[in-house]
Amino acid sequence: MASEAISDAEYVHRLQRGETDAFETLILRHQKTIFNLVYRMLGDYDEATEISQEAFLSAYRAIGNFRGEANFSTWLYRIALNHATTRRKNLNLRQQRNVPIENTDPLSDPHAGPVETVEKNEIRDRVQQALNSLDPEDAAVILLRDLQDVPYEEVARVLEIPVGTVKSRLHRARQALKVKLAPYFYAGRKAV
Amino acid sequence: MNCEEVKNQLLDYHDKALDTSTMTRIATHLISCAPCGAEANGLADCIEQVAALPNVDVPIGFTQRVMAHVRDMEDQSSIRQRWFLPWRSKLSLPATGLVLVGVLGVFLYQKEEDLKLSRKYDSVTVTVPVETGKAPSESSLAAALPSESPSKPAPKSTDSISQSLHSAAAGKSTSAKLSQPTQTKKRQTGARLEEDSVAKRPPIQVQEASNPTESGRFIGDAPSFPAFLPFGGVRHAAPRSITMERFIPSLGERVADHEFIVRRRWPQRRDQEGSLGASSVRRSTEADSAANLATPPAAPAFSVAPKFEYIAEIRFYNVAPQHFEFFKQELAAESIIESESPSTSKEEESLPTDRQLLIKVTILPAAPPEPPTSSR
Repeated sequence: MASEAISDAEYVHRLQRGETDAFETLILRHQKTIFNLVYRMLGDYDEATEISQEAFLSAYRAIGNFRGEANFSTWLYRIALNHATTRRKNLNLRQQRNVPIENTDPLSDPHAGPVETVEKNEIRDRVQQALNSLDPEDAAVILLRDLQDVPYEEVARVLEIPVGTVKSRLHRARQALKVKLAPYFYAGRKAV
Repeated sequence: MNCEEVKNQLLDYHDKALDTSTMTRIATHLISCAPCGAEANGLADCIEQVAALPNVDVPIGFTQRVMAHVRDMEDQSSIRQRWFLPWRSKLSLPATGLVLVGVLGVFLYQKEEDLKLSRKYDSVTVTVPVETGKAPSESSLAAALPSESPSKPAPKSTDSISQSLHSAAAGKSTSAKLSQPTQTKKRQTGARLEEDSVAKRPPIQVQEASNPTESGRFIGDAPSFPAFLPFGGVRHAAPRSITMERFIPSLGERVADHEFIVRRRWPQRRDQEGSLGASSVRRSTEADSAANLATPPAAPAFSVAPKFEYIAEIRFYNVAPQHFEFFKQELAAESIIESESPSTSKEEESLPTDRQLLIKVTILPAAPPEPPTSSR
């Protein structure tokens, strides 16, 4: 599409000139990523909807302050994580207040039986609960690196910390997550 | 490679960010070292499980709801921008208010100055009615007129101003004017007279303010009569009962450059048509008896039997500096100058030459003729 050839920076520039419709394009491009990140941070669908909306509105209000020194996605990640972290601290993450989401991954195995499906769903719930129990900073770095596959350098810009700190924090977060998931997953597996 | 070194590089090992030789050495250690192997496998599972979390669909209408809020914010900000400068401007609301207050203050100050200037040359005449045939008594004069401090002839005097133009007109009840003791008088009036084209005397640029009906009588009614002074033009008061009228000064202060106190010359009998016209006035003096006044003078066309012999008034005239002397001469011809101020010797020093002079003339009523035995 023609709109895909236009970079985020161009749409941001248009938005700063007063073309409000340019922001709609930016929302469409990043809404799924941001929503999933916020959802995995909070573990609640309704909360994720509200916080994601607030994140985009905050980005719109602050668009005048965006200087283009970093990617728009990096800047948007930062806003979304700030909102999610603030809300996460006020929520009781040990209690999931919403039903689990159906698996919408197109790559999921359509031939899996009902038992396997239930097991997979249970595993996902366990992982989500484990993420909910981590410190917000550890959960953020795991979700950015392992879920979103964001490069270390960009994670460092999002979190505004050095790359070395990102790696050490990520290693610590993975260790903590492993401990929480050890009773459910790893048992007698061979080393890679 | 020991366990500590392996643990420190597990992150890069899982990311395959190490060189081939290091990768091989770590793999070899993990096979031979069970704890390090378990550690590595556990981390790999965590990474795999987190990565396997499915994507969640965005709520339906999410983009539309966000854009609805965006457009609401845009409408609110446009309303603010209509009244204030754009958000990029550094002009704050208090600064804008201060600028508006300053502009308003300057505008009001200028208006006030204009009002002061416009009031400066307004003219009024004090009229105090009196019963026909009766000379005003001192008490009635004092009662009819507001008391004022004696005026000083200085141009900068700050006397209060009396108002009210002549209301005498045909058909109106007479408003005779009571005389006002000279020493108690201090009203300032202004009068306008148009320049007379009479060949007998050059025109004098004077201005007298009176009601339109009266001012017309000053102008051109009698070519032989100088459209000069109050005496000539006025007052064709009907010989009827006079009602008391009193006018309260309401205008601002006046500053006269020169002041005269004059007394009317005794006119003709009141039952005869006549006027205080110039010719009749010139022929009559204070010593003239009433019989002499019975002779009809060459009255100006406009003159009706004047009944203002008992009328005192104060008038202001705007006279060009070069006509001041002539004005004075005419005043002397028309009336009896009892006093003037400032004194002649100081006059030339104090009178301005770059503008018209404001002359205050206090006109006292004519003194009744004395019995033949008393003259002058």
